[in-house]
Amino acid sequence: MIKIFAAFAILTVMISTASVYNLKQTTYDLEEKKRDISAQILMDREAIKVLKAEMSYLSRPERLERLSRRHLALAATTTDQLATDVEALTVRDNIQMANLPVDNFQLLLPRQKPDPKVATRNNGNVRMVSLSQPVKKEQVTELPKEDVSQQGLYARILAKIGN
Amino acid sequence: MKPIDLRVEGMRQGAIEVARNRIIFVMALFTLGFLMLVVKLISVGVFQADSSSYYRTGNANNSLLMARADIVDRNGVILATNLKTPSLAVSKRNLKSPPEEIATKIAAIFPELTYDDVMKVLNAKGNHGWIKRRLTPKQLHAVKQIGDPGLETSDAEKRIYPHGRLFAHVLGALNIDNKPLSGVEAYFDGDLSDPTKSEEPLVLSLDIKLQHILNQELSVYKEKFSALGAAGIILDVRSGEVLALSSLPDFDPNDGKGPLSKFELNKVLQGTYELGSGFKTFTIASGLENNVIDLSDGYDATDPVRIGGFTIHDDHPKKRWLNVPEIFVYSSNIGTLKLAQDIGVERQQEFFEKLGLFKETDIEVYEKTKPQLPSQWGPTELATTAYGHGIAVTPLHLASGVAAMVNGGRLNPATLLRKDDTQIGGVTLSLSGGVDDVAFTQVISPNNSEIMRNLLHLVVEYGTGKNAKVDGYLIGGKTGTANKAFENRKGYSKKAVISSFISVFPIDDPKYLIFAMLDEPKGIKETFNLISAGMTAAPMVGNIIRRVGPLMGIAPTQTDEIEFEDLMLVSGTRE
Repeated sequence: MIKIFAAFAILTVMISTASVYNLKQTTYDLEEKKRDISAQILMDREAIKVLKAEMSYLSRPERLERLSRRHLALAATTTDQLATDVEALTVRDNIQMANLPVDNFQLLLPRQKPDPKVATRNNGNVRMVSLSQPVKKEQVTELPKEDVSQQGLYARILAKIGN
Repeated sequence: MKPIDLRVEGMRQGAIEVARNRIIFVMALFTLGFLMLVVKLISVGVFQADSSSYYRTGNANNSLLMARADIVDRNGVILATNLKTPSLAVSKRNLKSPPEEIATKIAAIFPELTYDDVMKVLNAKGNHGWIKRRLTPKQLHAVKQIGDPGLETSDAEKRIYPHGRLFAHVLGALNIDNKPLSGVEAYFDGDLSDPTKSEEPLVLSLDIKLQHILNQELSVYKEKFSALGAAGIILDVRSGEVLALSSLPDFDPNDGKGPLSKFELNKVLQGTYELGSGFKTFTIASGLENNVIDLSDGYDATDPVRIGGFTIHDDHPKKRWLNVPEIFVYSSNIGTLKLAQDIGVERQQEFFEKLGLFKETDIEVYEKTKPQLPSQWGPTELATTAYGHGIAVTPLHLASGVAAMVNGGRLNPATLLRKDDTQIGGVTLSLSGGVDDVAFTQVISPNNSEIMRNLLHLVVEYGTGKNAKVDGYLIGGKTGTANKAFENRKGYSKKAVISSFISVFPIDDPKYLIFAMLDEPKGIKETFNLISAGMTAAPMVGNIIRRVGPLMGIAPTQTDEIEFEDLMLVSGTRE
């Protein structure tokens, strides 16, 4: 009985020594890795700060204006180029907006609009941009849909075979 | 060998049995305990060894040392940030290469240092010597590439303003010891230098696009009219946010020095000027608000008036009876002062006080000035203050006041901090004038505010502000040409004027207020040597609106209806 117990105890001691050593070594490695990463993070942050400052410096409005004048055929927008709504742009009366599902294709839309307030608070660098003139609902005429389900079976068959 | 089987019988046997049982029981307990330890150890050591969450130790502070928080504009563009700018020193004891070689290499990195400059440091007495302060990251990298242990770099941080002069007056500057000198740097020093907040940037209400446009137009017109200075401000009339603020001449905050002379002071917040006819807006509004006049009333402006030894003329004399819109549109001093006389000193003072003209503005910088008020309010002062003379206020006072005249009558204190969208939502402009949840000082009724909007519109359509017209936008505005007082306070100069134009657009639903002024513009051929505000400041503001409007997505108006058009007599035709 004592022999078995002693053997068991020795085995236990060996296993636990091994696992404690393993544990300690892993922890040590991880600590070292963490120190490296921390140092790397600090350096990267510094680099990001420098890059952000440089970005801000390079995108000085005065410089962009100079570059745009030199390389792009762009001019400042004038008031003639702005329209308040779609109807001001065309004389057609049945205007359909492209963002309506006019075909049978189902449009995949996000289920919820992102909340601009949350977005602006979380990230100071991102500002939600919204159209200054949202398209008015009533301007969009929906395609008239035939309400098929209301008709009786006989009427539907007649419609199908072309009357 | 067979173990001897010893047995004790009788009473003793029972006692030994009990003892043995107890020992076994205790041993079993210990075994169980160790077993549990073993199981746990194996599970920890073998199965969870890589789960890093298990070993989470105290998080080291990752933030940069002594960093001062950034300042950003309303869209997150960095206006001020801290960068590590190490300095390069030499420790001669540790130098491994010959000084000549080092000097050649260093002189190649820094274009502003010559070989001789570096040799002078290397040959100087003592072990330690500074070669160059404030290295850029590229230069630092190049120095490290030399790889000599004698070249030492020390960490230091410097405040960098990537946009240089553009925001000088709002931001202020830090001196060489990183102590703030002026601007929001000084006002928010506590927050900016707080190490726990160094990751949160200070968000200003300014918009870099508008600031650039304002600054550019001001400098163009300052050159054009060879003015001593120019200043301007763009306000959001609904929230009181300052979107752009510029004052010329300016300074470069990167130099570590503030404004060097009195010309470089912030004219918008520190300069007090007798701003002239812009004040007529207040007098007319006061007349309407105190029920002294209504729009069809008027005053005789045929002859100049003598008050307290001065004769007061009209700059654009019509020499006839003028109704209220005409007094405003033709900027009649005579009509306005007669109106002020009817309002009376007390009510006029009370109205000015309500507009905040008697105290400093609430804007978030320390360098702002109290208005210079008349020491006593007699009939002369009542008359002159009515058209903006004898009372010197900062341009911001005028701008905030006029913003209140057009936005439904609510005085919003001007602020340099971006307000949350919810706060702006609370002050949505409604013509019926329901203040939702934010408490503001209501200075005039929404109804009178609408009248003032239309009057300002008339000025641009028919009056002195015609040069500010922009196709597609309805603009309201008021010119102000004020003779400058001599330095010795003895009378006014005939030739030196402050030309200013205060403008609001779109006037049917005001969003932006733009104020711009030129200090002592000189006449040029193009304006027939005229230096009045209508010829100098108004076209400048027109240009600003022409650029700001489309940029900010302000839709052009379809209607060109002008209210009270019928009240304009004789010259009531468009030229």
